[in-house]
Amino acid sequence: MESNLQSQARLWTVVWNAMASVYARWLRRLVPSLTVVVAWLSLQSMRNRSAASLQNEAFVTGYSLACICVLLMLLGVRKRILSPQLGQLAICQQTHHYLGLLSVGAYALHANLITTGWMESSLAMSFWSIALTGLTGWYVNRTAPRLLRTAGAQILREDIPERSRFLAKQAHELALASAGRNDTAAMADHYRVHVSSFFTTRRNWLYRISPTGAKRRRLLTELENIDRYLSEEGRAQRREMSSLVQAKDDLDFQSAIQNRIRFWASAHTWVLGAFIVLTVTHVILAHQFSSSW
Amino acid sequence: MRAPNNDLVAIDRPLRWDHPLDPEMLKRDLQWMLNQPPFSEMNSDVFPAHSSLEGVLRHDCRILRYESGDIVIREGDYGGSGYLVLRGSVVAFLEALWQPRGKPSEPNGPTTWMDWLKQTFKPNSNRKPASPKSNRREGSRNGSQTAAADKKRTTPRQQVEMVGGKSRIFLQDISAVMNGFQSEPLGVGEIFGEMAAITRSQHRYTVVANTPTVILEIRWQGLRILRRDKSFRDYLDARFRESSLQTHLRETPLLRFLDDATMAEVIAQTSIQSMGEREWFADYRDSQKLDVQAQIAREPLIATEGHAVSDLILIRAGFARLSFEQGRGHQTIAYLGRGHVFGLAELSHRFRNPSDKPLPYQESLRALGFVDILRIPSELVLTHVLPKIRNSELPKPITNPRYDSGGLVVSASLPQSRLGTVESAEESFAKLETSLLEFLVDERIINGKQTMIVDLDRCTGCDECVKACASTHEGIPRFVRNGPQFGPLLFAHACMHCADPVCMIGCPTGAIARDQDSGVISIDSQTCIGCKTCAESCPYSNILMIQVRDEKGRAVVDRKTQLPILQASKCDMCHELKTGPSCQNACPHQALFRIDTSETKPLEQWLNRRAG
Amino acid sequence: MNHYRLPRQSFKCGNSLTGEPCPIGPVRGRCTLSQSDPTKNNCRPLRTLLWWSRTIQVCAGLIALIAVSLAWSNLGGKHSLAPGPLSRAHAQLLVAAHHGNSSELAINTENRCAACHPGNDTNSARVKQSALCLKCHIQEMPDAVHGSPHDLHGKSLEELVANGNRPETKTFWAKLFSRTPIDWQSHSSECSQCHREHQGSLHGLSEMTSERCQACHRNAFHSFSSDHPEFKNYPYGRNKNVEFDHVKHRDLHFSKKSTTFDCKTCHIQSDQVGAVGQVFRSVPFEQACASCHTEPIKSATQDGLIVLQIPSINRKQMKSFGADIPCWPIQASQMTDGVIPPIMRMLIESEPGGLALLGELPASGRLVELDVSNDRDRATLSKLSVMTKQLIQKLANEGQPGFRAAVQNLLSNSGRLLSPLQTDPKSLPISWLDRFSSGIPPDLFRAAWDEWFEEGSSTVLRTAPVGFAKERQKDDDDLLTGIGNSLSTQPDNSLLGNDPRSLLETERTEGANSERFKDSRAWDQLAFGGWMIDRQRMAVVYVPIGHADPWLSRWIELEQLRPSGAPNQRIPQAQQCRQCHALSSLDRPGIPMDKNNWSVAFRNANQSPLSQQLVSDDRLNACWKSEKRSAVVRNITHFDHKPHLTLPRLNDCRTCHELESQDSRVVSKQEFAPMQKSQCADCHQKNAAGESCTQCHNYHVGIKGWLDGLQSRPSRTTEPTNHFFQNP
Repeated sequence: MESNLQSQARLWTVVWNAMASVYARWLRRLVPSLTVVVAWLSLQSMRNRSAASLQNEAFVTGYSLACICVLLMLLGVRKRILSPQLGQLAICQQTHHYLGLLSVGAYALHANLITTGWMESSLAMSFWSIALTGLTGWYVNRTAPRLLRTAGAQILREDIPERSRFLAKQAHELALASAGRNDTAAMADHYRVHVSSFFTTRRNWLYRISPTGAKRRRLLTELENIDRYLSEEGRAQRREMSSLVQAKDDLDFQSAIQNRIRFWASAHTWVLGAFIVLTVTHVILAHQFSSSW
Repeated sequence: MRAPNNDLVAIDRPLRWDHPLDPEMLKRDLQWMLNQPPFSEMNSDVFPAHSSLEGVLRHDCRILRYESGDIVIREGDYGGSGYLVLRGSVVAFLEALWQPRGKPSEPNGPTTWMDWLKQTFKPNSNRKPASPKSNRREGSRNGSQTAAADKKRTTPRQQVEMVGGKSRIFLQDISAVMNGFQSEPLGVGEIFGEMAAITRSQHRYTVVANTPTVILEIRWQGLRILRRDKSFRDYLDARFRESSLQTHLRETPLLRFLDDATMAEVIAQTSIQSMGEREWFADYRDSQKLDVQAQIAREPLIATEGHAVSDLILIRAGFARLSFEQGRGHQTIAYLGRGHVFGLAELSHRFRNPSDKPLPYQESLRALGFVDILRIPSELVLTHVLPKIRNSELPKPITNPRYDSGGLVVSASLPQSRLGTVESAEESFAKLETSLLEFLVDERIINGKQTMIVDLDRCTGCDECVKACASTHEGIPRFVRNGPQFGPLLFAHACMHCADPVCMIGCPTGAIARDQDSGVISIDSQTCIGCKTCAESCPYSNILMIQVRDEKGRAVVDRKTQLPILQASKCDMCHELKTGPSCQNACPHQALFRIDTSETKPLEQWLNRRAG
Repeated sequence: MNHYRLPRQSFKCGNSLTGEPCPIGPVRGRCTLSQSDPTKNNCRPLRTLLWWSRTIQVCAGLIALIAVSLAWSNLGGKHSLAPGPLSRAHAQLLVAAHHGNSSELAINTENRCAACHPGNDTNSARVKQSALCLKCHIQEMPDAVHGSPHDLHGKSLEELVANGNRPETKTFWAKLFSRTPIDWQSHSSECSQCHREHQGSLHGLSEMTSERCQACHRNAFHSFSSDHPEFKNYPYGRNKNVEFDHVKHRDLHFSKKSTTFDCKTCHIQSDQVGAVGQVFRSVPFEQACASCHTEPIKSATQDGLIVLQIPSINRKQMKSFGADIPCWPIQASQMTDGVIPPIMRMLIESEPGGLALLGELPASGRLVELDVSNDRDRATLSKLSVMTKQLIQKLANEGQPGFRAAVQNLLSNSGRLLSPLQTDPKSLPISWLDRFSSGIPPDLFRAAWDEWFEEGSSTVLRTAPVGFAKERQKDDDDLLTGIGNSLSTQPDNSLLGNDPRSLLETERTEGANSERFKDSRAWDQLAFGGWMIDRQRMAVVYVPIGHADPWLSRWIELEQLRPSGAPNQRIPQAQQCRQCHALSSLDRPGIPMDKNNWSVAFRNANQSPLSQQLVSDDRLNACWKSEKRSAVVRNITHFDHKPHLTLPRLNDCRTCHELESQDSRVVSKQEFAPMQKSQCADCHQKNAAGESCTQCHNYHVGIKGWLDGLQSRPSRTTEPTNHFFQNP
């Protein structure tokens, strides 16, 4: 009897897990997106209704937009106040994402895409910058981790300089070791001419913005090309050097991507203060200058 | 963080015994105890000057008084002390009085809003299925032997009442409970609970005072010192042997059908054995430098594949690696923890078809660190145990053995592992890919009960977890978001609250202690003297020494040497806030989880969800 | 892993790039290494990304704050806070300080927000914005101050609502999202509800979505073709001051003359632009009608119209009854006969006691019916004679002013008031009343007096001799010559006078220095209109100058204004005019009541009794011409022909305005087939010519000052009279 129940329960859990594992991925995206759409539509109908009853529809959309923005800002507050009773931050974060989408829609309802006037334009610009950086950040957060995983073991951002210095030191020592003997000296020369700067200096800004493997490939092939001048242990050292080059490039890649994530995350907050100031002013102006309604 | 402040706070370097277990212990009580056996028999010379017998009694002991029916220790609680009966008597219940309590903290709470909804609307949906242990408990409840008894016995009710300001928990109608459950009385001079204290594990039995009783609690630091006295040590070991034997065998589902007589015989015949040393971490440290195969080679063999099956091996504590030779190395199939059985498959094969030649061990069993095992002679098993067991409970028959009497069978395909537990871990192990398994074992992550796993496919390194941790712990985080890495899984350097917390071994003051209910290991900053013992003994270097700062952020230094005062610090699962670790709650990308890796179920489930 | 990494740090250890970073790291940007271990010395901490982003955050916020506060305090000029540039119409909303009265403050680009936005430094917050709008717009839409729907009030508004609103269609969704309907009676709308400013200079302020209209007009208008109600006989059914019968003209007259009946010849005036483009309801007489209608008018008026006529009375009988009439022309002394012509009647009426006298006359107005033997009639006759003399004498003495006064008395007798403008002659160069008397030659009346009533004149008998009349009756020629003699300067020349033929000869021989004038009829001498004495009819005659004669038309207006008498007492020539001119609009204010025509609806709603309506020049003029649409009240619908006429197929007017045939129009009292909605809906669809409400409908349909009658305009422009200034 009891075992029967248990087996049933087990069956159900199995079924549920299977279903969840299949559908969860898109359900997780679908449902909130639908909610956003519905919310937007209802906002629009509210707007039309107020417009049709000769009220100022700008107030309806404006205040709902303001509410959305406040909710969006609440995420920052939530991150600072640390009480797990508020539930998982992940949930707040997701809500933040979808609310952000909604806010863009609400904005489009409230002010058209083109805005005139100094105040309004700057307000619009600040809004757009925040919205766009947010969206980009979202995208980056989704994609960057997998990028990071392609470049070796993850390393803390704080530790990167130390690590790269360590690599440079290793490479240098390796080069010194090779310099000693004729049958290996070729690598030392090559290192001095071509490779050393790669270890010691910072990568150029282009790489730091969108890292590519071009330079790594070039260095590696060049290194391989000097094999002909090398004896056996010379080659062994060369291979070691190549691996060091690989490691350094991975490190640079890591730092580039991690910086990218940090950049978008912080860029999202840059004009926040200005945005708040302008918004408040905007609201006050709206109330003072649209008299009698 | 803190406000910078250049003037330093000078204090006396804290010492052990700064905080005695019982600050207001009376002098005459102390004297009286010293005259009581067993202390009166001990010779105080064996004790060094800095830790005299009197000092131990003064600082590491405390006198407790209980009314009849009071609960002294509870099965399942983590124990830190041994208890000596000074007056009156107590009863130890060898069976479970209650269903085991659910896990104190769900390691995998709501991760997505969907799960969150699920959890809010149907709370049981993602509760983990009961662990093998609890299943075994159930088995022991509805076993045939107790079936008759089931009717008359009633699960005892715990009651709490306040007496003289402190609450006492007691059983109602102790006598009824006593004849309901299998119990064993303990008289004056007997010690109990020390087993859990020494093995840093959970109590295996509940002890209740059945008369007004006076009990001396000795915290395990004290016990370790007292062990210097030979007679006492022998007494402890002997007691430890038989009691652990008894309790463990009684709880083994295989043996639950034995009547008391046979059980007694089995107990008599069974030998208990400890492999590896308790302070295994030191060895582990330097063995880590070797390559994997060498490590495995270094691990003490409990049973070797291809050897004749001499006994059925029960694992009582610690972990053992189940592996077989593959090419030039050993491939790990699984790791066996407490309660797992080894060699049952071979025995049952022999039992099923007595005509064939008996098969030797199909895999070898290696001790990971410190392992306690029980060996039951195979004859005993064949004659008494197996006949009584349902066929369904036995492991699958061995179709193509890797070893037969002739030795290695060349045409052997990959083995389906045959583990002797009723609810065998086999399926789940089969699901975990071998490489991950080996990784877990090699890194000894199998030891962790609250392992912090970071999903690198989601982690953006935003450090929200670290921030959360820091803001929960006065601005200084208690873990580092980095560590051993297996594919997308990063096992961060955060305390895993191990099943076998070796860090607790060396602690002179007991500042590092395990919470009775949750099993969370935390360091009491009041009593920590910064001796670095725990930090050095932690195999995962998850305990760090940090500089002490006072509320104003001023560095605290030693008054004499003017050197900074250090203290050990590690993750405490935010046990003061009741809602689990803030790192997990604070992760905005559902990348960080605390998962019990001492069993494979949770990890496997989490991996499934992650895939889905 | 040898130390914890402190998160969210603004500074990192200075050695983190160059050397070994210290585990603790800087605290608040200061290295505390020396604290933990005095042997080492501090590093110079580096700023992290967090520090930079925080700095940017704060700076941006501060900049915004400063900018806003600058803009707010007028330093930067408040207009920098404006949400956008003004529309073209308002962009030049500037008032220089110097011109205009000094009290008005100068509006420059800095402070001009206050010109439209209340609650500013200049005007109090109690003032509503619409009030400020109307400071300028009061002239165009005076009734907008009430903020009532369509600037309408009372019955007219109810009329509008009753006809304009179909019952609301309640679908399920409509029920679900049912809005609270606007109470149109109490509703007062603000300008800004529809007219949105600060949308850029190209933004049309009067552009409006149809949703706004449907706030009140709540039945769902999804498309013009499907939901708009059918036209009710649009655009016809207006009154016609000029009763032009299109059908008759096309079928009879034009076909008779075999000329093409082309709308454009009469309805398009290429040199002007009216309310609906170059298309007009009518064009001047000369352009359209003259070709055919000049002749009949001429012939009708060539006899002239008799202003005064000496009634002929049988003096002998009178005398026999002992009531002789002294000094009466011989020619009018034989028998009692003749009719009092209408204008003379009116003149008599204007005289004191005149009305009574007219009352005594027989209803037919023929004197023959008077019986001399009867005392009353005899008295009447003698009174009449006296009145006649009196009139002529008056006119001779007082001249035009006398005549004017007479007309004025006449009006006031008939209970008509004149607008103050017309009562005093100085106010206007020439007013309606003046026109009555303008051109009247007083000498004519003097001559008439001398000839007919002066003692000693040969044509006048002092007393009636017994039997005299008998002999005189015999020989007309003699009489004629006699008259001729009487006209000549040398009295006694009876010989020649006896033979008219010889007389004519002598005329022929010595015509140049002859002193005798050929007697003649009016149409010979007065071919182009004017005044004369007609001795034949014993009358002072006015001959009108063809179409639209100023003097005659005045009298016809006068007739129209007075309670009309019997047909025989009406000016005969007026019939000719009335053929085309329905002077109806004089009695009724403007266009006749018409259900399809809101303007009319509310005009009638505020119509005041006829007697109190003042006779104003413009209305008198209007009643002759056919109303221009621009002259008509601002309508609920507006239409411009110009864009339509560019379409080739619409170039023929008849595609829309198609004339009914003779018999079909008997059925429908219209001469034009009413337009169908479908005709418009062909082009006016969503994606074609458009179908928004405002494309054809006006919102502001009030007429100037209609709501409160003809109060003097100035009182409107002083603000506090309208409700915008009393905010609750």
